[in-house]
This record gives sequence, structure tokens and C-alpha cells, in this order.
Amino acid sequence: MKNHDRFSGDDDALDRLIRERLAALQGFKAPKGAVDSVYRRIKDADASSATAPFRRPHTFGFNWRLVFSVLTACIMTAALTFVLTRSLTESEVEKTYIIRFVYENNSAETVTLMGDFNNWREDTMMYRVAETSYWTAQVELAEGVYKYGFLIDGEEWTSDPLASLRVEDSYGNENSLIVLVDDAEKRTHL
Amino acid sequence: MKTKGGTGGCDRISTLLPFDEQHTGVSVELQAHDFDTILHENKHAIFNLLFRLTGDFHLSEDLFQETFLKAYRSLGSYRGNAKLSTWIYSIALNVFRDHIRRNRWTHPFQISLLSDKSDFTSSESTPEEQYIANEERMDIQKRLMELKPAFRIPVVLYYIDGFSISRIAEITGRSQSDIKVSLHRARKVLQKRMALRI
Repeated sequence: MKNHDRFSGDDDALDRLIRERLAALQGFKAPKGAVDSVYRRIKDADASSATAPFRRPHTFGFNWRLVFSVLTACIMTAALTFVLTRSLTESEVEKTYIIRFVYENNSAETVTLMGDFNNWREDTMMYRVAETSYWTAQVELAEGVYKYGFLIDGEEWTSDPLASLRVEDSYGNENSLIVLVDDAEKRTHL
Repeated sequence: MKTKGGTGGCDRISTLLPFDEQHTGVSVELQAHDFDTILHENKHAIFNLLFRLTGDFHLSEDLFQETFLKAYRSLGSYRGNAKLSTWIYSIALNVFRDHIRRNRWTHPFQISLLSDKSDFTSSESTPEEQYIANEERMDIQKRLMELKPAFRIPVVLYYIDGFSISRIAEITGRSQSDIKVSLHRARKVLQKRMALRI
């Protein structure tokens, strides 16, 4: 070892100690046959490189692994699309709205909510909010457009004064309209 | 250059190996002679180097073959600027580094330390002495394997092969100060792992 490779103080002592310990790892010989294995390796490498030009070009080869991967990807994509589409469709079919109707009348004894969603039956009674003149009822409706109105004390018909859309029926009565369509594009075609 | 493997080896490889005279500009006979000489003169040193770096006998065999395959292929490009042994050591280290890069996401070294008693030029006489010496070697090799490759390479070259720092810098392509820093840090790690007391 050259002088400038030597270390000072503790480092020098540690250097000596490590050198003594690692000396045990010196002198391991190459196994018998190592030289022959090198020559075999070189021959094999040369043989494979010599035949390489005659191999089928890789780009035109039928790559089973690639085909399998593409097929698997296609199947997975199709399955995922099916599941997603189905779940979307199901959620659309089951889409419902909870609607609370509110009507103000301080002289009425009873108010009934009637519409084509309950076949104009008088079975959806509205209840009066305590100590107010507000009548209210809550119904669950599927997506769609519905006509409705309020029957006061079982004889007087009125449309919803708060509704912005109204239509007349064939008897000349005015009904209110409620539009429950989530898609803005669909609403423009109503 | 004297061929340790004898003249028969030179004749054998000149017929076995397709040295390319036109490509290298060196005669086929001379190339064959050079390669056989390099192989025979460095086989033990290179194998020991790779075995100490990998701790795996079979992996060392594979890297050993790879090293000399690369040496064979680049023999014509060897310009003689460096010592032949420096050149072959550089190739071996590149092969080792390539192996690390290829296997960086897997566990690169299984530390399958075999009982490396067979090919030692040892002075251990009794089986008991041989056993103790072998256990000791395996323990030291384990400590060596715990060093990261950037430290392990200079440690092996410095402490086991006995190269100077300037020679190690030449072989590894790193600066001398870089090698010194690596050795200093490696020493501290080894001191702790081997429980060395100064």
C-alpha cells in the first residue's frame, strides 16, 4: 500500500483491524471448469448471434403473450362496461323524487292533494302545520311530468298558486304542472 | 505475454472462437493468445472479486462467464491505455453493476453463502479448524454483504485485493477522494457490524 493511502489515528487502527478480518476472504479460486464454461458461453453466444439473421423478424411474429394480454384487456373492459351500464340503468329506473307540496289557506277545514300521480283520488290528505295557515303533504314520485291541484273542504278545486306551470283540462278546470326531469336537455323538449 | 494455460489453450480457442481479424486489425493468433492469457491470469482474481461482491457462488459463476464474454467481444477495442488487469476488473464491475440494476426491484442477493472450503489455499489442517475458519469467513462475508454496493466495491478492492486508492479510482472510474470517503464510511459501518474495538 502506498503511504498516501494510510490513515491517521483511530482510522489507521480500524483500517488495520478490518484488513486483518477481511484477509480471510482472500484466495478463493475459480472452480474447476470455469475456463471451459467461459468458452462454452462464448460459443453459445456466437452461435445464437450467427443464427439471429435467419430468425423470423420479431415484429411479424405471432406474439401469444401480446394476444393474450389484448384479449384479457378487451374482456375486462367489456365486463366493466356491462356492469357500469347496468348499474346506471338500474339507478335511472329507480330514480324517484320526494316532493313536499305546500298550500296556504287560513279558512279551509280540509285540503286534499289530487293529481294524475294518484289517479285523482281523494286519498292524499294534506295536514295543517300547527298554528299556521299552511297545508302540506309529501309524496314520492318517479321521474315524469304530473298534473295536480288541491281540493278544499271536499268541494272547491284550485290549482297550486305557487306553481309556475298550469294547464286546463277538458272540463275547464285549471291544473298545475310539476316537472320532475333531471336531464336539462329532456326538459327543453317538454 | 505468457499463457498460463499452456500453448494448447491458444490453439484450441483460435479454432473454436471466431476472432475477426478484419474488424479488429489484430491477427487471429494474437487475439486468441491474448484472450487465453487474460482468462488464465485473471480467472481466480475475478472469480474471488465477484464472489465477494455477490456472496453467491452460482451467481458468481454466471457473472464470471459474462465478464469474459464481454472481454472477448471487446478485445479488439482494448487500446492498451490501462493495464489489462485494470481493464478486466472494470468489465467485471460493470457486469456486477448491471446485475444490480437489473435486479433492483427483486431481492438482489440471497446471500447463499456456501461453504467455500473447497478451493481455498488454506493452511487449516484439521477438519475442526477448517470448520471454524469457514464459519468465520461466512460471518465476515455476511457483514460485507450488508454494505451497499457503492461501499462494498471499494472495500473488496482495497482490503481483499489489496489495490491502492489510485488504482481503485482507475478501475471504478470514480475520483480518489470519492473512494476515500466511501472507504471511511464503510469502515465505520463495518466497525459497528463486526463490533471491532480499537
